Amino acid sequence: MSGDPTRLRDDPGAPDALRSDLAAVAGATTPLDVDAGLARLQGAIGTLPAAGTALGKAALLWGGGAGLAGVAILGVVVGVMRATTPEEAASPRPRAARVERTEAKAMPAAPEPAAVPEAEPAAEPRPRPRTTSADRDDRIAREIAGVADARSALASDPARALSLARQGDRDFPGGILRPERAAIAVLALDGLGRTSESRAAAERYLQRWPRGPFAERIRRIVDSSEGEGAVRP
Amino acid sequence: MKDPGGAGHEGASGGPLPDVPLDAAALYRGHARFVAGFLSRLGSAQEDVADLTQEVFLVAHRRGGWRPGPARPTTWLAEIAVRVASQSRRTVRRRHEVADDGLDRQTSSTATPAEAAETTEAMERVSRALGTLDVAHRAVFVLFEIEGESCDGIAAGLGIPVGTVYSRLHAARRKFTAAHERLVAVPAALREVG
Repeated sequence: MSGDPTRLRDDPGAPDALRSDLAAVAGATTPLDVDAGLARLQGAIGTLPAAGTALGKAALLWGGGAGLAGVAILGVVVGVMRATTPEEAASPRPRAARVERTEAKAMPAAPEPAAVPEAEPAAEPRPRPRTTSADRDDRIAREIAGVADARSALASDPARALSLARQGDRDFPGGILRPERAAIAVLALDGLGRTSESRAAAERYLQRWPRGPFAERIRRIVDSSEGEGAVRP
Repeated sequence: MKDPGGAGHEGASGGPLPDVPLDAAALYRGHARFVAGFLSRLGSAQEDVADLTQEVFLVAHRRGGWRPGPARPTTWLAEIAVRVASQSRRTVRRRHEVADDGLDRQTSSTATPAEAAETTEAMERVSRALGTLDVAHRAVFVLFEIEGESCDGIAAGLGIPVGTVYSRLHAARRKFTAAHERLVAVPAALREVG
């Protein structure tokens, strides 16, 4: 827009070092395996409706301790639930009311650069499966199909869902949907009433993927079992 | 990379605005790299960027995807990314985990080792200077100064008045520039990091 100020990197009046640094960052890219990420996204979405009603129904079913149908729907949507902020998931208030829109609602502050020399160990990014052959797409498709089957089975046959999830782990040891299968296993064990195993599986999940796509919901299962002696609220 | 809906990421506000709705998959194909880079520049640890990117697009899916309107797909996704990144930062602090500056591990097409080293230093300086800004100001600064979005586009995407965008940008520039100036003065300390 013509009314916008000149960007610093294009502003002759800005310090040269500032301009060159900003230009360097603007030209940089963040490593991301787009194909694997897209496959994972599509697997997580599955047959989930885009918005609203199904999600709300699933949340109600889960919150009310309803039967396996609720568990099954939750298995599909739990990633989306995790994708929201806890406030979104927990609060009945409209989303718009919670969107950060004012200067007064401060965001977390970051450290001052005075602490420049702080030497944080640079952890290596987690290894991600990378294949370049033509069978990669087929492998991903089969892995997604397996997860979809397991999710479908959660409602009517949690034993089969558990079996399919474990079979998927054997078939795709480096697969991109391991968190999804692990979450399905937790829910299937829960559905079978194997609460101690469900909790153990939940704890393993949280150890491995503490910020994984289902971590928040799995954490609630653990918390619930700690508080009430049962996995299901 | 272009998506079927024609929303290939332009990286700036001058590209054509898609005239059809885009679902989460189309958005991901077109803008996953933008979102990943934006999350890094917001301060998310590189090891978390892939997961957080997933979260952004799952929220996008939950919202029913992007629809033509005043906000571009990039700034619309940026608003979600700010929320996801903010929540992630709060969670990380609660667990007393050590966060790193994701920007440090962005890569560039720089060819020679010397140029790569210079780029790394530049990224470190920018990352640390960005670290002086809160997320709200950092988001506006990154979208305008690095991603090349317009102030109107940022306002539409973040759902704030354009005057607020200007005021945040002004404040962010002042703080960022001062921090960067200090960092340029202590390059030796930066070389000890990493």
